[in-house]
Amino acid sequence: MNTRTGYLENVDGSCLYSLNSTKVIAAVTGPVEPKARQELPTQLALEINIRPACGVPTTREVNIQDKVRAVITPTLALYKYPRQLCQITLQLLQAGETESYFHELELVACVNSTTYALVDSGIALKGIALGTTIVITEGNKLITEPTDENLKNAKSTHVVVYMIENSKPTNLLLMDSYGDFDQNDVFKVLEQSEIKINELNKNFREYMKTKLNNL
Amino acid sequence: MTDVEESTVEVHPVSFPPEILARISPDLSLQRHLSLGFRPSSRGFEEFRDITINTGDVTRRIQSDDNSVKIPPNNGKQGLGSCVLKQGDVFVITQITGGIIEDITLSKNDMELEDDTELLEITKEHSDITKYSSVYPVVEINRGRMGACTDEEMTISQRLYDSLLHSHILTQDVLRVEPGVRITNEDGSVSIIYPDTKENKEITNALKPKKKWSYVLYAKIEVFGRTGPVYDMCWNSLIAALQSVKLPRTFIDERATDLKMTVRARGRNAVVMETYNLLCDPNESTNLQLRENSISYASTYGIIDLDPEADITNLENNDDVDEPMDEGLETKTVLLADIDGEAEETSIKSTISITACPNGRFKQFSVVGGGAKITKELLMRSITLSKQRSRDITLKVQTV
Amino acid sequence: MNVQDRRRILGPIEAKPLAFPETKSTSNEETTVVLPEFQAPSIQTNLLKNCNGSCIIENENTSILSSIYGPRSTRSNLFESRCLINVTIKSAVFPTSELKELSSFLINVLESFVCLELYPKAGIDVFINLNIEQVSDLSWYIPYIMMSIVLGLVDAGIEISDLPGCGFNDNNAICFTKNGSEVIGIWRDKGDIKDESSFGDSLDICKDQYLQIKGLMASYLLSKLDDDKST
Repeated sequence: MNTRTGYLENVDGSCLYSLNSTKVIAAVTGPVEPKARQELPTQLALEINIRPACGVPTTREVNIQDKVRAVITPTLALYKYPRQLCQITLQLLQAGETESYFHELELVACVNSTTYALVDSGIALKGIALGTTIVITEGNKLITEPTDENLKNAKSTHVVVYMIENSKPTNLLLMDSYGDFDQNDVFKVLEQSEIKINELNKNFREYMKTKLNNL
Repeated sequence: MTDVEESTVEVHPVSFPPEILARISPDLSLQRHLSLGFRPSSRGFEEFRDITINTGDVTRRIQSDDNSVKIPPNNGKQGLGSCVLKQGDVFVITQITGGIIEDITLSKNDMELEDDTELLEITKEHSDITKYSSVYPVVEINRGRMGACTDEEMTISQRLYDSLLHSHILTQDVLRVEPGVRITNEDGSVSIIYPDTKENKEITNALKPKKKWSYVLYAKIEVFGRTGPVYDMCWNSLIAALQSVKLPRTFIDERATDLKMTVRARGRNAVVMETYNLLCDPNESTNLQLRENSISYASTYGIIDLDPEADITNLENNDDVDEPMDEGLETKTVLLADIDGEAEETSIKSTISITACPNGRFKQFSVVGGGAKITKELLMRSITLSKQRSRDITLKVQTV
Repeated sequence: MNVQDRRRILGPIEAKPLAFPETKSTSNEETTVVLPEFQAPSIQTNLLKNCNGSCIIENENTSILSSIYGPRSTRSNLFESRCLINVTIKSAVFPTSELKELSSFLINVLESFVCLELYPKAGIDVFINLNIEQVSDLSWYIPYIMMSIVLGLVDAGIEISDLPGCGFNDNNAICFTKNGSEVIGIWRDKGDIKDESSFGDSLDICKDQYLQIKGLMASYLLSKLDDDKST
């Protein structure tokens, strides 16, 4: 996984993120003045736009947007910014997966890059969201951070996102699974992803630490 | 002096009738209901809404023997299958229509693949996603508004498409078109020969073109009287409708099978083009073959923390001196099955949606944990309930 | 450039709709379509929870659902002293142009009996969903559509000056009010009116049908009132 925050100059926070062949730029602007119809009287409004690597946004991007929103909303300190707006724009540079079949890798890339960009922007957060993709193969093996080929031949695909508070994964924010699996698989995936997300969290803190030291 | 008297305000506790409280503070209203052990809809915590399913009710056909179905000549041209699902106060009408597309993506291997392997592939578990197909769903939620579709409609459509594709319920093979040939006999009568018997197969093979076609299926899903989240209803209705789908058999006219046209492009090369018109037989159709063990049904659950302060029993016992304080402040988290209604939809931030087969396998599983913490116990409970619900719905669909 | 609708999953553009061969009628008898007589349909109101009023009218091969939203605020900034009525009809069977024409016809009819002055600055939106098999022209369905709209309006508690209705005969759908003494709309699918006497006949038949429909609606509403009282 490769991340570089502060990649864009004209926004409050940004991050260039790549994992295997999935690549995305996240940009965060906020808190800013919202449009009248977006404004919420007591809390921060959230606008998320996802642009695909090629072509125009379709229902597929709206679906990813919906999931990113579900994951990011609980991490923000919403009531600190009443009548304000936070705008998150995600531009995919490379999908890294066959777009007509999958959205898993892009979803995780969007969530993780948004987290980095949000921290970069300095918006108050209650915690951070980090996620990972896991596939279960025909031979019941778990593969974390799969390739497109892994996805295509997988028995089931899973995206798991945890909320991290006080440096520990606490709440399960999102689990999104497709394919053929049973309840043991569900718990195996949750267990495995918690380990992986702990690792991601370590990387995240390491990255932020060096960034702060270099200031 | 009178001024002073008038300016003193006496504060009365304000009370609202339940239905008004539900509008101005849905959250509190929900908590008050839950503290009494039931939900605003007066359902129990783990009680589902009643569900009724009717397939084939929208487009009526006259059923004949075996698998074949006679369609009255005037109607049912586009409708291949349908379902009317009613859950609580919500109606979902699903109509399946079809189209035909020429397969240009087929590799040489596919062309050589002969029929013997096809039967095997329907029953065999395959993980290669490129072997499977989906339908193209358009969800429309009627809410008295005109104009562009809402994000909810788009998200549900996309989720239905993805779930169906990854549930491996439809293989590309069952959607492959096996066209027959319409022959004008010597006496002038017209008959259609399908490659059912060995003898007929030889005839059609000799006559039919080397091209391949596939059916594409579309689903139009209309939701009426939406009162809460509708994904599970759309899915269940779609699956029930798919089980009622009859694909019409198609044929090519004998005269068209050998049609060749020479086209001069830019005055240089003469290009040979073949055009075929596939026509559907109004009298012959086959059931769409779904992979039976992949048929699954969806259910939705909500998880919410009970707020001890909203507990009506605590309020009433407040004067009671013997009441131990700490006991009343313990937060309890509960699982609500089949969330519905404004209060439940807006106040419950943690949801679980499970698409399960009656045999306990899952096809889609999505957890959103924005609110109350989702523990392993709650997950287990929702899993148990989803299997039960899936079995119930299976029975309902089968008895149709 | 992909010109397809990006908001809907419509599938590949190259796909063609299923084509059925044109049915050449083998005998002459089949070409003269015998229209089904008016059948007393089943009625159910207060069906949908997310609108102000709704009604479903069903008979053997027709299911007509009306949902009424309003009176509610309109988007227009202008001050309107009367209520604005809008009718939208959805059907997979009939072409949109025909449905548009019918909806403007129905708006005219509705404006003659809905008490518009009682709802200034407001709008009433009527949505009609036709789930039908095409057995005949649009005019045949108008009596049923009218019925579902009128009962839907009653269900929504919108004040109307009468229980109007519509009858159908020989391509004519004629809407009546005031016990048949007043005609509020005539819809004709095709063909000219050849002579006055035949039109007069069909007027009488339509009127009889209207009275029958009015009776059905009245008895449904009365029985519903009794049910409401007893519960």
